[in-house]
Amino acid sequence: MSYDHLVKSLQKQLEDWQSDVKEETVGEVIEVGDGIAKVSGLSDVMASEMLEFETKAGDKVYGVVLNLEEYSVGATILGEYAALKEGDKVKRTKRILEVPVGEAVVGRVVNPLGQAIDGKGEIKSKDHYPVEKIAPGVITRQSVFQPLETGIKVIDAIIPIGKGQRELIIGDRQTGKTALAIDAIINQAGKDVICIYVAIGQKESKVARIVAKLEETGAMDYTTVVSAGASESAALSYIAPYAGCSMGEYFMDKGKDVLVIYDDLSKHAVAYRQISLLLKRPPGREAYPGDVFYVHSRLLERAAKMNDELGGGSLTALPIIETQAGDISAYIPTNVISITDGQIFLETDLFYKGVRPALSTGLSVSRVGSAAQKKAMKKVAGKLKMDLAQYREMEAFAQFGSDLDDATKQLLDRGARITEILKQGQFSPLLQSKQVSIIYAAANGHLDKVPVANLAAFEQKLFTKMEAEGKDVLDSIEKSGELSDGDEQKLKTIIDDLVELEEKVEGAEDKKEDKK
Amino acid sequence: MKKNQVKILAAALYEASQGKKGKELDIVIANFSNYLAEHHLVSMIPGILTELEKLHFTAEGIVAAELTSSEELAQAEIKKIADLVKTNTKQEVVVKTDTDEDLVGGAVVKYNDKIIDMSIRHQLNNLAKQLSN
Repeated sequence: MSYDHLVKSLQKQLEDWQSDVKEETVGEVIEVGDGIAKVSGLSDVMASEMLEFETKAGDKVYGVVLNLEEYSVGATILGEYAALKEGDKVKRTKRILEVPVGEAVVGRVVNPLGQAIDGKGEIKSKDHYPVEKIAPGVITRQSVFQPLETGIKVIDAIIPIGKGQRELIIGDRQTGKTALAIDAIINQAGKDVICIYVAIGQKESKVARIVAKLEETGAMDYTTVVSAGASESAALSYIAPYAGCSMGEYFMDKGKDVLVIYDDLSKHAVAYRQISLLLKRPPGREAYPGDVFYVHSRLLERAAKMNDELGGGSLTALPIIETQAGDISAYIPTNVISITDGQIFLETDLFYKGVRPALSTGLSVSRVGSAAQKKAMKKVAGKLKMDLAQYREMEAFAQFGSDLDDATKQLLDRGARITEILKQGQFSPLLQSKQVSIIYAAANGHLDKVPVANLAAFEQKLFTKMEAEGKDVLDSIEKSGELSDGDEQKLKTIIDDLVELEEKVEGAEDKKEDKK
Repeated sequence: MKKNQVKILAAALYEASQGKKGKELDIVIANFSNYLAEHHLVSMIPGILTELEKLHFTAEGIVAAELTSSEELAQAEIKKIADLVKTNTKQEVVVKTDTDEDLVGGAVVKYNDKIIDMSIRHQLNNLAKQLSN
């Protein structure tokens, strides 16, 4: 680029430039602190409008109007508020808070304002969506009928999640709530589902670890991480889930399937409580403001399965709630349980017993139910649910041991085996076809002769054998979603062969030990 | 509460002095001054005066405009700007002038919670913003 060219382009720029003098509405900061500002003036400002704060040094910070009072306006500050002082100028922007949406945000880590925080450069997107949007209405929706496969045996079999559903993941700290959600994201590889992980008030180290894991498994190609860190202001935590939801809605409107994870809404409620108390709104139960229910219900209502005229896109929401010492009757847990279409309840006791995922099959439900299951899974899982329910009822008797009748004993054996089969390692989601084969084996009593301790190894052997000898069965389940009679027969033969082999090996080992 | 008190006092004085003239007005002012002195509120007088002015302007339907320019303006120029504000607000206008060299050139006029920035500094900032984009 020559000097002449530079001068010419500069000249052209200057010629094009027109100074525009227009009337602007300005206010003044009366009071500022803890991420909240009270502003005078701005008599015609709208609720939840963006404000532009200008510090003495000329830096610009954005805020959102939350309170409209008689003589002043209450606003939260999105970002650094330390530089703001009393008397600073505040301008109206006449815009509702919005975030960039579209392909440009996929694969990125952004803050709740849609600014990149992964160091991969600015996000350039033509499309913007308002952060707060009204949820789709009744006639624009259709009922949930497709499964959203999480790749986790116990969920896909017993509490299936449908596309467009809202399923709560609830449990104490350290019970594997996030792990479950991350596994669900990893399992969406190649399924044309866009995933959005919203981290609300999480440790930056945890978010970094999750992003690294998603990158390692290749899941970052279709995932956006929206992170409002624990060190950032409560206002950012408050808008984070709405921002993440808007990013998902864009793809839903384009007819795609979206999975959004809110990790976690208890911290979101705490952030909202902080803002509300600072704005001097009256506290209610557990000091949460009166509209904390509405805060969560309007967010989760935005999960939907659109009808076919509108593209048939869906937005599935997996909110996470952290309970204190298993107390699900606290304010926020009960609220969110009542909003969602079911919950996955994780228990500390189970977790330390080695049942991982530590899912309590008694307390977990999915109100959408088997409408969102593939036919093959429906066929094999129906029996499983019954057996597990009976097992739970009888489990207490097992403590007394000896004098049980054969039927009860068999029931207990079956239950123990099913529980063992439903265990699954972290970051190892399974295909539906493999899940169907192992669950078929367990639910139909084919594994009753295999010792419980050998089941994990047996499962691996079954998968290897299926891949070698029953590839067509696996493929047909994946493709048609059904388990035909022929396939069922073939699957049964493979399982029986393996069980027989297992018995022989057991027997040989027993003999060896006898000789010694 | 301090700010509120100023407003209340100003409102009280304004109401008490309404429609009073000459001697009557002197009595009102004397009483008010005594009250302030007794309650150690003399330091609030400047605040009360600005409030009083505001009350007067709102009651009479007058807009107070603050005009800041880089250098002293001629009466004709001030008149022009006052007319501009008048057409915008459709109300009578009282202009207060002030100078600020930081504006480089031009002027800024403020009224109610509106601002019209016609200063060179503002335009230079805009230009800088556009060029850096």
